[in-house]
Amino acid sequence: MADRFDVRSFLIKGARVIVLILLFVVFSAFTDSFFGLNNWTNVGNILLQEAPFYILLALGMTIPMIVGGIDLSIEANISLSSFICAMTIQAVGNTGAGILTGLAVGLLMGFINGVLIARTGLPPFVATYSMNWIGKGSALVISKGGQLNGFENFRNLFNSWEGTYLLMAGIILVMAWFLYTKTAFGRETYSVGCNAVAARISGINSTKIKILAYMASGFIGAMTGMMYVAKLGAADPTLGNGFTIKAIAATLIGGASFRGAKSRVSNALIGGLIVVILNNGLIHIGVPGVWQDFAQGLIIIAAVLMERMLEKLQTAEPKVRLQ
Amino acid sequence: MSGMNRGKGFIKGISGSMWAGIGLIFLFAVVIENYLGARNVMNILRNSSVLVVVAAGMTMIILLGEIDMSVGGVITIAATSAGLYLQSVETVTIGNVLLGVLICAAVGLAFGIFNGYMIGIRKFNYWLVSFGSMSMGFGLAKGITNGGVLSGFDTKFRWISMGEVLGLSMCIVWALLICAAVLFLQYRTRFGLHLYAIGDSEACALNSGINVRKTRFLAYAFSGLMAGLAAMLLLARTNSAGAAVGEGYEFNAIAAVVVGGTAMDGGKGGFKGTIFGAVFISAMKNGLQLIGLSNYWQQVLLGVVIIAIILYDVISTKLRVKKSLRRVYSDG
Repeated sequence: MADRFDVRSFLIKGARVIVLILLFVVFSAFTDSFFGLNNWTNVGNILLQEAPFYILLALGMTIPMIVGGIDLSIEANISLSSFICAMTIQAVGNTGAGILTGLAVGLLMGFINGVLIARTGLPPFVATYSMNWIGKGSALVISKGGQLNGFENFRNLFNSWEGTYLLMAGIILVMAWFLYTKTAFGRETYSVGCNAVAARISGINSTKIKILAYMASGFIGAMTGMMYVAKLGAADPTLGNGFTIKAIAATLIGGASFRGAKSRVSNALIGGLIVVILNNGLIHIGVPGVWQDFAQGLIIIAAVLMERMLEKLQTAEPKVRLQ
Repeated sequence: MSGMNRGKGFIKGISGSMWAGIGLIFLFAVVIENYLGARNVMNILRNSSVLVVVAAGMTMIILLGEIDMSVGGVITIAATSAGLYLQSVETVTIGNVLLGVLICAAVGLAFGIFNGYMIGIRKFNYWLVSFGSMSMGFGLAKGITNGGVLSGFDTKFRWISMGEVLGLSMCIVWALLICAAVLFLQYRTRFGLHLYAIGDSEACALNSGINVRKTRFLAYAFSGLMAGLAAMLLLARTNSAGAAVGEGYEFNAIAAVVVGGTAMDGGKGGFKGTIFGAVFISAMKNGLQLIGLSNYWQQVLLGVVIIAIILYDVISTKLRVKKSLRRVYSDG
């Protein structure tokens, strides 16, 4: 009895990791090009060039979810902050100034989201979704629909060593993990996500905590956007389009939940990896790239179903033990 | 704003955001020559025809206190499937046109039924499910068109939107017919009234014997069907289909519903306001275009308008609650 119970709770807790490993094994087994003992190039490519972005996207979405919200403005944030960063670099000629401006734009968008949601009580979906359109529109207005090229120094900063993207994603991930699991601030954040009223009564400034969560999301969005510009070599006002879907797919399949306080930073890591491997593996299996968006939709629905299934398994546990 | 007593005369029934809308239209009429001329008004109405159909479904969902994010994606996949079918036929007959219409409606309804089943009956989070359907709609359309754009359909099919009857554009005729049907459904049937009850308090509705699951299922199915019909009008009007045709329609529909005075937390408002909201959104876009502001500005302003209206709603509710609390406590 005890044995069976252990296996079961292990399966429930590790379900996402199991999915990740299964996907990896299946794709490796069915294709030669995805991964083999003599073929590390593809997996290396994924890890260095794709995974960092997905992990960061998922992280930017997971943090507002901890406080029971969501950030749908992430694609606007990516477009707007990276474009303003590129513009500043061209205008001032200083890479550092550009990066700082980009981050400031991201933080500002996060701040506006946070104030709208935490101070005035707008529903997170509506507030961030409207901000998404405002941000996307502003990026197009500023750019007049055109692209920006150039800024060699900025690109060299990121591209001179191929591990830079992974390193940056790793640093941000570790920082977020430390902040949200090892500090008093993190515990306060989780208590706000669990029950904002109870948290406020016990003396936690829940408004501030929520605003900070959205600002963290804005910061990560801006960072992702600038890394994308460095990777692609051009700043485009529509750069972020479609990223919200990717971010949400990665976050949900990683096990984050809307109900607040259930999401962890590790969810973002696993979810990001699952989506990257699935996207890449499907191409290697022979599914054309245009079907990727559809796969992401399926992932979202699958994640929703999986959450319900795991929940049922979990709540079934005590009954078994009582008998 | 929506708290103003219903039925206390027409003027009192107009919400604050509607007054703001009327003011803006008046401003445009002063600034722009011929803004309220017959030709431009027809243009505005034609533009609002697709939106009002989508917003009809959205109204039902928002009355429940929920949002159907999928309509943009559903419009896209419905228009694209019908477009693919129409292009596969060599000589288009009336039968083919009818089948094209049927495909639009069926694809929309299928997505609506999926949403309704998952949200209404299986009780999954409305936002997650409709967002998932949205991504599947866009993704399928991108997949089956291979990322390209379909354009150039037979004039027989395009008559659905471009034809004229008694001097009215066919798309306006469609919109009027659908509006009449929806008005009936909303205000004269049990289903329509149940939406209000559930949006106000689901527990109350359940206890008074309303079949909440069925009503919610039907509302989402209806929203999907409306998106399908909107796809038909859009396809015939724009003469093109592809992975991006429906982009932003959920946002515009939410805007139309909210401007029309339906509260985001459900139970208040109705389709009458949405009709005005849809026309207002089109009038605003048209005015901005004529002033010389690009599509990009329209996106920004639409976002600002939605946030402002909901903010006003939230803050005025808060103030009202505070005021009534003060009264209670000072009396005691």
